[in-house]
Amino acid sequence: MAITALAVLAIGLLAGGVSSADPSAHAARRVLHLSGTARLHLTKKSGNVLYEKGTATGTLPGTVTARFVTGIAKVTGTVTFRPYSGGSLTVTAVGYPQSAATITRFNGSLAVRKGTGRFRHALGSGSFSGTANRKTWAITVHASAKITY
Amino acid sequence: MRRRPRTGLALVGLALLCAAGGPAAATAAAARHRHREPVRLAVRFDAGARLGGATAVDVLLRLDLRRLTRAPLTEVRFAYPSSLGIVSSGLGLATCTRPASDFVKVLIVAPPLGGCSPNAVMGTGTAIALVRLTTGQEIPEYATVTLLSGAYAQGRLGLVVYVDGQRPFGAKLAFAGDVRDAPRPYGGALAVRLPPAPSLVDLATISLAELHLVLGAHTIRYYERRRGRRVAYHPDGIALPPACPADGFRFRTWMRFADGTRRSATTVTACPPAAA
Repeated sequence: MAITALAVLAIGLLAGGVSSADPSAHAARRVLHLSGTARLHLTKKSGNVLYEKGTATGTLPGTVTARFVTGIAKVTGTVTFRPYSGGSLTVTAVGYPQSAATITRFNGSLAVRKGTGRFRHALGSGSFSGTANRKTWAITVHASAKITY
Repeated sequence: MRRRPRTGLALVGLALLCAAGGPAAATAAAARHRHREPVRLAVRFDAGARLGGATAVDVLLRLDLRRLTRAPLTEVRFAYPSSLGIVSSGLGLATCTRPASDFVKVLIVAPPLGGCSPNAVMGTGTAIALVRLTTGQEIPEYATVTLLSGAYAQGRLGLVVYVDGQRPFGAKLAFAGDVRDAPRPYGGALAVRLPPAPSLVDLATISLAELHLVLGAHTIRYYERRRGRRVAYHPDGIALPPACPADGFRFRTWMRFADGTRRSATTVTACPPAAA
Protein backbone atom coordinates (compact mmCIF):
# COMPACT_ATOMS: atom_id res chain seq x y z
CA MET A 1 0.00 0.00 0.00
CA ALA A 2 2.76 2.35 0.99
CA ILE A 3 4.51 1.29 -2.09
CA THR A 4 1.58 2.33 -4.11
CA ALA A 5 1.59 5.77 -2.69
CA LEU A 6 5.28 6.13 -3.19
CA ALA A 7 5.05 4.93 -6.68
CA VAL A 8 2.37 7.42 -7.40
CA LEU A 9 4.44 10.24 -6.13
CA ALA A 10 7.48 9.13 -7.98
CA ILE A 11 5.60 8.74 -11.15
CA GLY A 12 4.18 12.18 -10.95
CA LEU A 13 7.54 13.77 -10.62
CA LEU A 14 9.49 11.52 -12.86
CA ALA A 15 6.93 11.01 -15.47
CA GLY A 16 8.80 12.05 -18.44
CA GLY A 17 7.24 14.97 -20.02
CA VAL A 18 7.57 17.27 -22.90
CA SER A 19 8.01 20.79 -21.79
CA SER A 20 6.65 23.40 -24.07
CA ALA A 21 5.82 27.03 -23.91
CA ASP A 22 2.11 27.60 -23.57
CA PRO A 23 1.11 30.44 -25.91
CA SER A 24 -1.84 31.30 -23.72
CA ALA A 25 0.14 31.42 -20.50
CA HIS A 26 0.37 34.72 -18.71
CA ALA A 27 3.56 36.15 -17.25
CA ALA A 28 5.64 33.69 -19.18
CA ARG A 29 4.26 30.67 -17.35
CA ARG A 30 5.06 27.49 -19.13
CA VAL A 31 3.19 24.25 -19.38
CA LEU A 32 5.04 20.99 -19.09
CA HIS A 33 3.56 17.58 -19.78
CA LEU A 34 5.53 15.09 -17.77
CA SER A 35 5.64 11.37 -18.12
CA GLY A 36 8.13 8.92 -16.84
CA THR A 37 9.06 6.09 -14.57
CA ALA A 38 10.58 6.15 -11.12
CA ARG A 39 12.32 3.22 -9.49
CA LEU A 40 12.64 3.49 -5.74
CA HIS A 41 14.12 1.41 -2.99
CA LEU A 42 13.61 1.49 0.76
CA THR A 43 16.13 3.45 2.78
CA LYS A 44 14.39 3.41 6.16
CA LYS A 45 11.24 2.08 7.76
CA SER A 46 9.95 3.89 10.81
CA GLY A 47 6.63 2.73 12.20
CA ASN A 48 4.06 3.16 9.46
CA VAL A 49 6.34 5.49 7.47
CA LEU A 50 8.55 4.36 4.59
CA TYR A 51 11.47 6.43 3.30
CA GLU A 52 12.61 5.70 -0.23
CA LYS A 53 14.97 7.01 -2.86
CA GLY A 54 15.79 6.19 -6.43
CA THR A 55 15.97 7.53 -9.94
CA ALA A 56 13.53 8.78 -12.52
CA THR A 57 13.61 8.46 -16.25
CA GLY A 58 11.41 10.24 -18.72
CA THR A 59 10.76 13.90 -19.29
CA LEU A 60 12.77 14.99 -16.27
CA PRO A 61 15.41 12.38 -15.53
CA GLY A 62 17.00 12.75 -12.14
CA THR A 63 16.95 11.52 -8.58
CA VAL A 64 13.91 10.98 -6.38
CA THR A 65 13.33 10.87 -2.64
CA ALA A 66 10.02 9.99 -1.04
CA ARG A 67 8.27 9.62 2.29
CA PHE A 68 5.16 7.45 2.44
CA VAL A 69 2.66 7.02 5.25
CA THR A 70 1.06 3.60 4.97
CA GLY A 71 -2.55 2.92 5.81
CA ILE A 72 -4.98 0.10 5.25
CA ALA A 73 -6.93 1.60 2.40
CA LYS A 74 -4.48 4.15 1.06
CA VAL A 75 -0.96 5.43 1.17
CA THR A 76 -0.16 9.11 1.26
CA GLY A 77 3.21 10.61 0.62
CA THR A 78 5.50 13.35 -0.48
CA VAL A 79 7.91 12.85 -3.36
CA THR A 80 10.65 15.18 -4.42
CA PHE A 81 12.16 15.02 -7.89
CA ARG A 82 15.53 16.58 -8.53
CA PRO A 83 16.09 16.64 -12.30
CA TYR A 84 19.69 16.49 -13.47
CA SER A 85 18.85 19.65 -15.42
CA GLY A 86 18.32 21.62 -12.19
CA GLY A 87 15.60 22.68 -9.78
CA SER A 88 13.27 20.37 -7.91
CA LEU A 89 9.61 19.45 -7.84
CA THR A 90 7.76 18.25 -4.76
CA VAL A 91 4.60 16.25 -5.22
CA THR A 92 2.01 14.99 -2.79
CA ALA A 93 0.42 11.69 -3.74
CA VAL A 94 -2.38 9.42 -2.64
CA GLY A 95 -2.20 5.82 -3.76
CA TYR A 96 -4.58 2.93 -3.46
CA PRO A 97 -3.40 -0.67 -3.40
CA GLN A 98 -5.17 -3.17 -5.60
CA SER A 99 -4.09 -6.36 -3.88
CA ALA A 100 -2.21 -7.80 -0.93
CA ALA A 101 0.14 -9.92 -2.98
CA THR A 102 3.89 -9.76 -2.49
CA ILE A 103 4.07 -7.71 -5.67
CA THR A 104 1.07 -5.46 -5.33
CA ARG A 105 -0.29 -3.07 -7.91
CA PHE A 106 -1.42 0.39 -7.01
CA ASN A 107 -2.68 3.56 -8.62
CA GLY A 108 -3.53 7.04 -7.51
CA SER A 109 -3.30 10.75 -8.07
CA LEU A 110 -0.69 13.37 -7.42
CA ALA A 111 -0.50 17.11 -7.01
CA VAL A 112 2.52 19.31 -7.62
CA ARG A 113 2.68 21.74 -4.72
CA LYS A 114 6.08 23.33 -4.72
CA GLY A 115 9.48 23.38 -6.28
CA THR A 116 12.80 25.13 -6.36
CA GLY A 117 14.85 26.84 -9.04
CA ARG A 118 12.97 27.03 -12.32
CA PHE A 119 10.12 25.06 -10.72
CA ARG A 120 9.69 27.37 -7.72
CA HIS A 121 6.22 28.41 -8.89
CA ALA A 122 5.23 24.98 -10.18
CA LEU A 123 1.65 23.79 -9.83
CA GLY A 124 -0.03 20.82 -11.41
CA SER A 125 -1.62 17.43 -11.08
CA GLY A 126 -1.47 13.98 -12.53
CA SER A 127 -1.89 10.29 -11.97
CA PHE A 128 0.27 7.26 -11.50
CA SER A 129 0.26 3.50 -11.33
CA GLY A 130 2.87 0.96 -10.45
CA THR A 131 3.97 -2.00 -8.43
CA ALA A 132 5.44 -2.41 -4.99
CA ASN A 133 7.25 -5.36 -3.51
CA ARG A 134 5.84 -5.72 0.00
CA LYS A 135 8.84 -7.67 1.19
CA THR A 136 11.57 -5.27 0.06
CA TRP A 137 9.43 -2.19 -0.58
CA ALA A 138 11.06 -1.70 -3.96
CA ILE A 139 8.65 0.39 -5.99
CA THR A 140 8.27 1.11 -9.67
CA VAL A 141 5.94 3.92 -10.62
CA HIS A 142 4.75 5.18 -13.95
CA ALA A 143 3.38 8.68 -13.75
CA SER A 144 2.07 11.43 -15.92
CA ALA A 145 1.31 14.98 -14.95
CA LYS A 146 0.76 18.44 -16.33
CA ILE A 147 2.44 21.31 -14.56
CA THR A 148 2.74 25.03 -15.01
CA TYR A 149 5.81 26.83 -13.76
CA MET B 1 -3.58 30.82 68.83
CA ARG B 2 -3.08 31.58 65.15
CA ARG B 3 -0.91 28.51 64.64
CA ARG B 4 -3.56 26.10 65.80
CA PRO B 5 -5.91 26.65 62.80
CA ARG B 6 -2.96 26.29 60.42
CA THR B 7 -1.96 23.08 62.13
CA GLY B 8 -5.55 21.95 61.90
CA LEU B 9 -5.66 22.72 58.18
CA ALA B 10 -2.40 20.91 57.67
CA LEU B 11 -3.74 17.89 59.49
CA VAL B 12 -6.92 17.98 57.46
CA GLY B 13 -4.81 18.17 54.31
CA LEU B 14 -2.70 15.26 55.45
CA ALA B 15 -5.78 13.28 56.29
CA LEU B 16 -7.24 13.96 52.86
CA LEU B 17 -3.99 12.94 51.20
CA CYS B 18 -3.90 9.78 53.27
CA ALA B 19 -7.52 9.06 52.49
CA ALA B 20 -6.95 9.67 48.80
CA GLY B 21 -3.80 7.66 49.01
CA GLY B 22 -1.89 9.88 46.57
CA PRO B 23 -1.02 8.96 43.00
CA ALA B 24 0.14 5.46 43.90
CA ALA B 25 -3.17 4.67 45.50
CA ALA B 26 -5.01 6.10 42.53
CA THR B 27 -3.02 3.84 40.21
CA ALA B 28 -3.73 0.84 42.42
CA ALA B 29 -7.42 1.75 42.46
CA ALA B 30 -7.43 1.97 38.67
CA ALA B 31 -5.75 -1.43 38.48
CA ARG B 32 -8.34 -2.91 40.83
CA HIS B 33 -11.09 -1.36 38.69
CA ARG B 34 -9.61 -2.96 35.58
CA HIS B 35 -9.58 -6.32 37.31
CA ARG B 36 -13.29 -5.94 37.93
CA GLU B 37 -13.96 -5.30 34.26
CA PRO B 38 -15.53 -8.30 32.49
CA VAL B 39 -13.33 -7.69 29.44
CA ARG B 40 -9.64 -7.03 29.88
CA LEU B 41 -7.04 -6.24 27.24
CA ALA B 42 -3.25 -6.24 27.66
CA VAL B 43 -0.73 -5.56 24.90
CA ARG B 44 3.04 -5.92 25.18
CA PHE B 45 5.99 -5.43 22.88
CA ASP B 46 9.14 -7.57 22.89
CA ALA B 47 11.20 -7.24 26.07
CA GLY B 48 14.08 -5.89 24.02
CA ALA B 49 11.95 -3.67 21.76
CA ARG B 50 13.34 -0.25 20.90
CA LEU B 51 11.66 2.79 19.38
CA GLY B 52 12.45 2.84 15.69
CA GLY B 53 13.00 -0.92 15.68
CA ALA B 54 10.79 -3.91 14.99
CA THR B 55 8.83 -5.94 17.51
CA ALA B 56 6.18 -8.57 17.88
CA VAL B 57 2.90 -7.35 19.37
CA ASP B 58 1.59 -9.64 22.10
CA VAL B 59 -2.17 -9.28 22.62
CA LEU B 60 -3.99 -10.88 25.55
CA LEU B 61 -7.77 -10.65 25.72
CA ARG B 62 -9.59 -12.09 28.74
CA LEU B 63 -13.35 -12.32 29.19
CA ASP B 64 -14.93 -12.99 32.58
CA LEU B 65 -17.75 -15.26 31.45
CA ARG B 66 -19.47 -15.08 34.88
CA ARG B 67 -20.05 -11.38 34.31
CA LEU B 68 -20.93 -11.40 30.62
CA THR B 69 -24.02 -12.37 28.70
CA ARG B 70 -24.31 -16.07 27.87
CA ALA B 71 -25.06 -15.16 24.27
CA PRO B 72 -22.25 -16.15 21.88
CA LEU B 73 -19.69 -13.63 20.75
CA THR B 74 -20.37 -12.59 17.16
CA GLU B 75 -17.63 -10.05 16.39
CA VAL B 76 -14.31 -8.92 17.84
CA ARG B 77 -12.37 -5.85 16.76
CA PHE B 78 -8.88 -4.88 17.84
CA ALA B 79 -7.65 -1.37 17.08
CA TYR B 80 -3.97 -0.41 17.09
CA PRO B 81 -2.15 2.94 17.06
CA SER B 82 -1.70 4.70 13.73
CA SER B 83 2.06 4.89 14.19
CA LEU B 84 2.52 1.11 14.32
CA GLY B 85 3.80 -0.33 11.06
CA ILE B 86 1.27 -3.11 10.61
CA VAL B 87 0.83 -2.45 6.89
CA SER B 88 4.52 -1.83 6.30
CA SER B 89 5.55 -4.93 8.28
CA GLY B 90 5.80 -7.27 5.33
CA LEU B 91 3.52 -9.72 7.13
CA GLY B 92 0.92 -11.54 5.08
CA LEU B 93 2.72 -11.82 1.75
CA ALA B 94 0.48 -14.62 0.55
CA THR B 95 -3.30 -14.66 0.35
CA CYS B 96 -5.35 -17.27 2.18
CA THR B 97 -8.71 -17.88 0.57
CA ARG B 98 -11.31 -20.28 1.94
CA PRO B 99 -14.74 -21.11 0.57
CA ALA B 100 -17.45 -19.13 2.36
CA SER B 101 -19.01 -22.39 3.53
CA ASP B 102 -15.93 -23.06 5.69
CA PHE B 103 -16.79 -20.09 7.90
CA VAL B 104 -20.10 -21.54 9.11
CA LYS B 105 -19.21 -25.10 9.98
CA VAL B 106 -16.92 -27.19 12.10
CA LEU B 107 -14.16 -28.60 9.93
CA ILE B 108 -13.73 -32.27 10.67
CA VAL B 109 -10.54 -32.66 8.71
CA ALA B 110 -8.29 -29.83 7.66
CA PRO B 111 -4.68 -29.66 6.52
CA PRO B 112 -2.12 -27.59 8.47
CA LEU B 113 -2.97 -23.86 8.38
CA GLY B 114 -6.24 -24.84 6.77
CA GLY B 115 -4.34 -25.45 3.55
CA CYS B 116 -3.02 -21.89 3.32
CA SER B 117 0.54 -20.79 2.56
CA PRO B 118 2.86 -20.23 5.55
CA ASN B 119 3.64 -16.87 3.92
CA ALA B 120 0.10 -15.77 4.81
CA VAL B 121 0.66 -16.11 8.56
CA MET B 122 0.50 -12.78 10.38
CA GLY B 123 0.18 -14.02 13.95
CA THR B 124 -0.09 -17.10 16.12
CA GLY B 125 -1.50 -17.80 19.54
CA THR B 126 -3.85 -19.77 21.73
CA ALA B 127 -7.46 -19.55 22.82
CA ILE B 128 -9.61 -20.97 25.59
CA ALA B 129 -13.32 -21.26 25.01
CA LEU B 130 -16.07 -22.56 27.24
CA VAL B 131 -18.29 -25.07 25.46
CA ARG B 132 -21.75 -24.94 27.07
CA LEU B 133 -23.65 -28.07 26.15
CA THR B 134 -27.43 -27.91 26.07
CA THR B 135 -27.33 -30.58 28.77
CA GLY B 136 -25.94 -27.92 31.10
CA GLN B 137 -22.40 -29.25 31.15
CA GLU B 138 -19.61 -26.69 30.65
CA ILE B 139 -16.28 -27.85 29.23
CA PRO B 140 -13.24 -25.67 28.48
CA GLU B 141 -11.69 -26.24 25.07
CA TYR B 142 -8.05 -25.33 24.38
CA ALA B 143 -7.01 -24.39 20.87
CA THR B 144 -4.20 -22.91 18.85
CA VAL B 145 -5.01 -19.88 16.71
CA THR B 146 -3.40 -18.68 13.50
CA LEU B 147 -4.11 -15.31 11.91
CA LEU B 148 -3.73 -15.38 8.12
CA SER B 149 -3.97 -12.65 5.53
CA GLY B 150 -6.81 -12.96 3.06
CA ALA B 151 -7.71 -11.24 -0.17
CA TYR B 152 -7.64 -7.46 -0.50
CA ALA B 153 -10.96 -5.95 -1.51
CA GLN B 154 -12.66 -2.56 -1.28
CA GLY B 155 -9.91 -0.99 0.79
CA ARG B 156 -9.81 -3.78 3.33
CA LEU B 157 -7.27 -6.54 3.78
CA GLY B 158 -9.08 -9.82 4.32
CA LEU B 159 -8.22 -12.04 7.27
CA VAL B 160 -8.75 -15.70 8.01
CA VAL B 161 -8.57 -16.89 11.60
CA TYR B 162 -7.89 -20.59 11.77
CA VAL B 163 -8.70 -22.23 15.12
CA ASP B 164 -7.28 -25.68 15.69
CA GLY B 165 -8.89 -27.26 18.75
CA GLN B 166 -6.43 -29.28 20.82
CA ARG B 167 -8.40 -30.79 23.70
CA PRO B 168 -10.82 -32.21 24.58
CA PHE B 169 -12.90 -31.78 21.40
CA GLY B 170 -10.28 -30.94 18.77
CA ALA B 171 -12.73 -28.98 16.64
CA LYS B 172 -11.28 -26.98 13.75
CA LEU B 173 -12.95 -23.70 12.88
CA ALA B 174 -12.25 -20.92 10.40
CA PHE B 175 -13.47 -17.36 10.78
CA ALA B 176 -13.38 -14.50 8.27
CA GLY B 177 -12.34 -10.97 9.07
CA ASP B 178 -10.52 -7.96 7.72
CA VAL B 179 -8.18 -5.14 8.57
CA ARG B 180 -9.92 -1.82 8.13
CA ASP B 181 -9.36 1.86 8.84
CA ALA B 182 -10.16 3.01 12.37
CA PRO B 183 -10.76 6.50 13.77
CA ARG B 184 -7.83 8.32 15.38
CA PRO B 185 -5.79 7.73 17.46
CA TYR B 186 -6.04 4.30 15.92
CA GLY B 187 -4.55 3.54 12.54
CA GLY B 188 -6.54 0.43 11.81
CA ALA B 189 -8.55 -2.36 13.33
CA LEU B 190 -8.53 -6.11 12.92
CA ALA B 191 -12.12 -7.33 12.83
CA VAL B 192 -13.18 -10.97 13.02
CA ARG B 193 -16.72 -12.21 12.58
CA LEU B 194 -17.82 -15.28 14.55
CA PRO B 195 -21.12 -16.58 13.17
CA PRO B 196 -22.63 -19.55 15.00
CA ALA B 197 -22.01 -22.87 13.29
CA PRO B 198 -25.46 -24.26 12.35
CA SER B 199 -24.34 -27.78 13.22
CA LEU B 200 -23.70 -26.67 16.82
CA VAL B 201 -26.76 -24.52 17.44
CA ASP B 202 -28.84 -27.32 18.99
CA LEU B 203 -25.89 -28.90 20.79
CA ALA B 204 -23.85 -26.19 22.44
CA THR B 205 -22.77 -22.60 22.53
CA ILE B 206 -19.12 -21.65 22.48
CA SER B 207 -17.99 -18.68 24.57
CA LEU B 208 -14.50 -17.25 24.13
CA ALA B 209 -12.79 -16.90 27.51
CA GLU B 210 -9.25 -16.01 26.53
CA LEU B 211 -7.38 -15.14 23.35
CA HIS B 212 -3.62 -14.77 23.30
CA LEU B 213 -2.34 -13.69 19.89
CA VAL B 214 1.16 -12.57 18.92
CA LEU B 215 1.29 -10.49 15.76
CA GLY B 216 4.61 -10.85 13.97
CA ALA B 217 5.60 -13.68 16.32
CA HIS B 218 9.23 -14.74 16.17
CA THR B 219 8.14 -18.30 15.45
CA ILE B 220 6.68 -17.28 12.08
CA ARG B 221 8.66 -18.61 9.13
CA TYR B 222 8.22 -17.50 5.55
CA TYR B 223 9.71 -19.19 2.51
CA GLU B 224 11.17 -17.77 -0.67
CA ARG B 225 13.12 -19.05 -3.67
CA ARG B 226 16.79 -18.19 -3.78
CA ARG B 227 18.81 -19.63 -6.64
CA GLY B 228 16.21 -22.30 -7.11
CA ARG B 229 16.19 -23.35 -3.47
CA ARG B 230 13.40 -22.88 -0.98
CA VAL B 231 14.82 -20.82 1.88
CA ALA B 232 13.09 -20.01 5.19
CA TYR B 233 13.32 -16.59 6.78
CA HIS B 234 11.69 -14.71 9.62
CA PRO B 235 9.65 -11.77 8.35
CA ASP B 236 10.29 -8.35 9.78
CA GLY B 237 8.32 -7.65 12.88
CA ILE B 238 6.05 -4.67 13.29
CA ALA B 239 7.97 -1.41 13.03
CA LEU B 240 7.77 0.97 15.96
CA PRO B 241 7.94 4.73 15.34
CA PRO B 242 11.08 6.64 16.40
CA ALA B 243 9.13 8.53 19.07
CA CYS B 244 6.40 7.54 21.47
CA PRO B 245 2.85 8.88 21.05
CA ALA B 246 2.14 11.53 23.67
CA ASP B 247 -0.10 9.24 25.71
CA GLY B 248 1.62 5.95 24.96
CA PHE B 249 0.57 3.25 22.53
CA ARG B 250 -3.19 3.02 22.88
CA PHE B 251 -5.07 -0.16 21.92
CA ARG B 252 -8.76 -0.94 22.09
CA THR B 253 -11.01 -3.92 21.62
CA TRP B 254 -14.72 -3.95 20.88
CA MET B 255 -16.89 -7.01 20.94
CA ARG B 256 -20.47 -7.71 20.01
CA PHE B 257 -22.65 -10.57 21.25
CA ALA B 258 -25.58 -12.36 19.62
CA ASP B 259 -28.10 -10.67 21.95
CA GLY B 260 -26.91 -7.21 20.90
CA THR B 261 -24.73 -6.63 23.96
CA ARG B 262 -21.52 -4.71 23.30
CA ARG B 263 -18.37 -4.52 25.38
CA SER B 264 -15.07 -2.75 24.97
CA ALA B 265 -11.75 -2.41 26.74
CA THR B 266 -8.71 -0.22 26.24
CA THR B 267 -5.11 -0.44 27.29
CA VAL B 268 -2.05 1.74 26.96
CA THR B 269 1.30 0.10 26.41
CA ALA B 270 4.31 1.84 27.85
CA CYS B 271 6.92 3.24 25.50
CA PRO B 272 9.99 1.10 24.90
CA PRO B 273 13.32 2.88 25.25
CA ALA B 274 14.80 4.68 22.28
CA ALA B 275 17.42 2.90 20.22
CA ALA B 276 20.96 3.58 21.38
